[in-house]
Amino acid sequence: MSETVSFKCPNCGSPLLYDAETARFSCEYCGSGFSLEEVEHASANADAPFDWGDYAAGVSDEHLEGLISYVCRSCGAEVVTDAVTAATHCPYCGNVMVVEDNLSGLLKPNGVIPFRVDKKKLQEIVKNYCSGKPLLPRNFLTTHKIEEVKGVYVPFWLYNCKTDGSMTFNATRVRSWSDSRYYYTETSRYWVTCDGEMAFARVPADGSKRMDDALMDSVEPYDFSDLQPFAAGYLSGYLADRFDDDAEACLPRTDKRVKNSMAEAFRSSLHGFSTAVPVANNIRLIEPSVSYVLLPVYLIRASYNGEEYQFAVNGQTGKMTGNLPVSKGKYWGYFFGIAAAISSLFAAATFLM
Amino acid sequence: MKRMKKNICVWLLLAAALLLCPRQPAFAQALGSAAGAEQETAPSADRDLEEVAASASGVDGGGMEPEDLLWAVGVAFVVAWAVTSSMMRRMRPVQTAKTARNYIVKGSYRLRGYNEIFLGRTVTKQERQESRNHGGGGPGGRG
Repeated sequence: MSETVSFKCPNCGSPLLYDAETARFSCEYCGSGFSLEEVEHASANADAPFDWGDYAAGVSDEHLEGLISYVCRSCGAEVVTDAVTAATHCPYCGNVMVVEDNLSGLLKPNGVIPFRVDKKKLQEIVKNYCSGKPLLPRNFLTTHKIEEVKGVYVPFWLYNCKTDGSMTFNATRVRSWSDSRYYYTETSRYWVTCDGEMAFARVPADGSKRMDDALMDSVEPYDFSDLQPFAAGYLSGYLADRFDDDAEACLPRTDKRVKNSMAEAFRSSLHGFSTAVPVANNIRLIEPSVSYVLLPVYLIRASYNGEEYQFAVNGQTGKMTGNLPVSKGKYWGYFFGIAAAISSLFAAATFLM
Repeated sequence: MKRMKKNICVWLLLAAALLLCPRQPAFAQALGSAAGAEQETAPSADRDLEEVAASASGVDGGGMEPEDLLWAVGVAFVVAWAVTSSMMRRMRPVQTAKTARNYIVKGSYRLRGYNEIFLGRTVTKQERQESRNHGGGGPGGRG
C-alpha cells in the first residue's frame, strides 16, 4: 500500500487545486486561495489520517504485478493504479493524490517547471493550431470529439555534457568561366579535417516509456530559467508519472542529438566550398551529468471518424503538436488545382510568345 | 491562410522560372556567363539571347505542340507534388529531435584545429551554343 499526500482546503476541507496562472492553490468550493507555504503548513498540522489497519492491508492485490493500491485520504476509497503513477485523481471523490513513494529517495525529482498554461486556454490553443492548415477536413473542428484532456507532469532527464572530437569532409570548390568557344568548369577537391569541442546544458529526454518520444521531443523547447526546486504541492490538480526509463537507457538519444549538433557546427565552419560530404567522424560525449525533473505537458486525445489522435501541449509555453487528419478530397483538389493552374500559365505563356 | 497564399505565390514564381529555363537551355547559361564571365561582354550576351530566342524549337508565334504540352503537364505535376508535400508536412509535425541546437551553451564551440588538404583539380569544357554549327563539340578535357 503506497502512501499518498493530498492537499485540502484549511477552511472547508475540499480538495485544493494548483492554479497555473496565479501560481497559488485555490479551493473550488469556498474560493479560498493559498500559497505553497501556507498549504504545506496547514497540511503538517492536519489530523492524522484514519487508520484502516488490517482491513486496508487485506484488500490490496499485491499479486497484480505492476499495480499499486492506495487509500484516498479524502473519501477512504481504495484506488489501484500502475506503479509509475506519481500523482492522480481519486475516481470516486476527485481528490488529487500524490503517491509519495514514487517521489521520494532516488525517485525524487530535482526540479519541476510548474504549469503556466491554464486549461481554459487550451481551447484557444487547439483552435490556433488547427488554423492555417488547408488540408484539415472542413468539419474537424466542429465534429471532432475531445475524449480526454490531461495535465501531466512528465518525467524528464536533463543532461549536461560536452562533446569533443574531429570530423573529416570530402569537399569541392567549383569555379566557372568561359571564352569565345567554351564554357569551363573547374572542380577542386579537398580533404578537410575539423577538430573541436562544444558544451550542452539541460538537453531533455523523457524518461517515461508510455510517452511517445517523438511527441515529447516536438513540444520542446522549455524555458529552464523557470525550473523550481521540487515540491509535491505543484502536482496538485495534475497527474504525474515517475520515470521507468532510467538515465542510462535514455542517454543514447541525447548522445545522438548532441553529436549531430557538433557535426552541424563543424559543417558550418567550412567556408567557400560548393559541396562538403562527411566521410568520417570521431565525436565523443564527455563528462555527462544528469538531473531528474518533471515538466508540464497537456495530453489531448481526440477522435475523428473513428480514429484516435493524440496531441501534446507544452504546459509552460503553450506550444502544441500532434498529427492531424488529412482530407483526401482537399489533398487531391489542391494537387490537381495547382497542376491545372501551372499548365494554364504555361499554355498562356506559349500562346503569347 | 496568408502564409499559404505566400507559399503558393513562391511556388508559382519558381514554376514560371522552370518553364522558361529548360525550354531554352542556353538561356540560363547565357545568363550565368553574362553575370560571372571573365571575358564575356554585355552586348555579346544580348546577342546570345536573341539567337537562342530565334532558334527555340516548337514555338512559332502562338502554337503549342504535343511535346510542349506533355512537358508542361510534367512540370505542373512536379510543382503540385512539391506544394502538397509541403502542406502535408505541416499536418504531420511530430518527429524525433535530430539535434540539440537549442541547448548549446553560448560561446562553448571551440574549433581547435582546421586543416585543408588539396587533392586535385578537374576542368571540364563545353562548347558554346553558337559555335556548334561550325562543327566539333561535346564535353571533355581534363587539366
